Amino acid sequence: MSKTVKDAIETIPTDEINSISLSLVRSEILTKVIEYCKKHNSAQMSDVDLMDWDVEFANVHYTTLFDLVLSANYMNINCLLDLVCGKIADMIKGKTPGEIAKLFDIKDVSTYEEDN
Amino acid sequence: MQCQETTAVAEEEEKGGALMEKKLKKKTLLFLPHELIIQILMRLPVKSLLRFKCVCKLWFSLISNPHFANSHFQLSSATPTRRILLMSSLLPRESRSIDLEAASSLDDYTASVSLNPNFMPFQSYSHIEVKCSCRGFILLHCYSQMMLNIYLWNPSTGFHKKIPLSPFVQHYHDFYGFGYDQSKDDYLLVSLSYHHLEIFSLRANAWEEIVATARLPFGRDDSSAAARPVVELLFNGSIHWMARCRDIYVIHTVIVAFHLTERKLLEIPLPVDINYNSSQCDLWVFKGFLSLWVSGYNTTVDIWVMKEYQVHSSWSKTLVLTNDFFHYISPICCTKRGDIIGKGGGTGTEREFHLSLYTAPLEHNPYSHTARGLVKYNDKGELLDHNPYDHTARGFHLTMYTESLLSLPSDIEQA
Repeated sequence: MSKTVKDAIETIPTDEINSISLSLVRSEILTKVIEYCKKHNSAQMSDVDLMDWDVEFANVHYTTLFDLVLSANYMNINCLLDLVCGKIADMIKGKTPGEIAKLFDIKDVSTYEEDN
Repeated sequence: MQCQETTAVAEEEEKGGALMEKKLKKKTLLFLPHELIIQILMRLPVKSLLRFKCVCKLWFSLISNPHFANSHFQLSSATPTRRILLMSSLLPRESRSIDLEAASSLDDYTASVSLNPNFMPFQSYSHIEVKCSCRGFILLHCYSQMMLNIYLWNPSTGFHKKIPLSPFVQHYHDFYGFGYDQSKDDYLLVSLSYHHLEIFSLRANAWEEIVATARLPFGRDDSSAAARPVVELLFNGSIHWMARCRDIYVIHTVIVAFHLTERKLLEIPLPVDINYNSSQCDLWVFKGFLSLWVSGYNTTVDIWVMKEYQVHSSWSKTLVLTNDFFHYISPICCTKRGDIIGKGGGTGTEREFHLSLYTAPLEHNPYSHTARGLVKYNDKGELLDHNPYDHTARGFHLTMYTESLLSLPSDIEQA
């Protein structure tokens, strides 16, 4: 599921692998990522149930979502990236530009007038 | 909302945590790279994106980028949010855009917004017809003292362009169309009649006459009471029309299609069991298939589907809609849930009939396009809802469209 891990496995000779270094991913987030991968790799759930599970999985605080986005990107897990980006988009779509700037910690807030 | 509860809980947990932990978390927020911001922006609706242009300079340039507009459109067209634009043809003019997915019922006015083109002397045109749409652009025919003015308009961004009239055709063209040629990233207007086939390329900004290799069609017999408007249907890279073709002594009703990339005409046969002279019928897209709706003397509408494109034997009647409310109905499109949205019409008022004769002699058919309201069926053909939008009985034109950030190749925005 993770292209990064897959590439690592493929390039390093098998008898030398003890651990794969994922230095940019914090342990709590990695736990969540592993939970996601396990769920999606098991053939136990129907598509509809899996979608519902995804919705619950992504129902977390912004900071966790941003961490997940960074991890999914680093570990190259496209379906997780898609899910989390979609969730973030859904959460911010109704916000004002000021709220967006605050959320993304953007300092150089422009003084552009809004088009229409 | 569940989301807010989770947020509240998480915030409580954060407050209990170490200050260092908090600083670490805050630092993470700053480190969202551009490519991830783009991934998030790509999943936002057009309205939000236009509003977020002013968040900061970076977001302004990301959202204004034409490549972003293209990628965004590609992603959203996988599961498009369809809207319907309604515009009253006569003055005083009103227009409305309805989000078909958000509307819980057709009465749900929270899902509809008033939407006027602000670029042209909107109220000075005596007669405006909303024709069709492609990739978020709407084709408008505007009449002022019997003169036709053609506009392309993206209602989401306000982007617009006036299209010059064809130098070749001085008389009425039976068929018009608007579509996208993917191979050249070009938009084409097509004008077709018994004598001419010509196209206007947005990239070339010029009309070009095309030598037709197939026989040219002619339109319906307008003197008959069953005369119908010839609406184009964009499907599978071609523009389709219902038309009649002469084969020496015999006249057939067929589908004529113009392939936008190959720039060729071809004919697609229709189901044989239908009397096209005494029925109202036209084309639309149903569940991803080319489809024909047929309305006879009774109050039902048959839906035929061409299961294999261009294969005559694959036509099959799949559904019947019953029509009790309006004088006639015709299906337009489907929602994401699979419900069928149709327009309902009645007889035009006498004033409108005479006015349309004067201002738009090209289409003096009183049944032409004008709708009185909308209907909604489920995919089994059961009526779910109906709503007469037209309280003043003046009638309106409508088209289904999707929202896009796209601009046209010529890239000139006119004031």
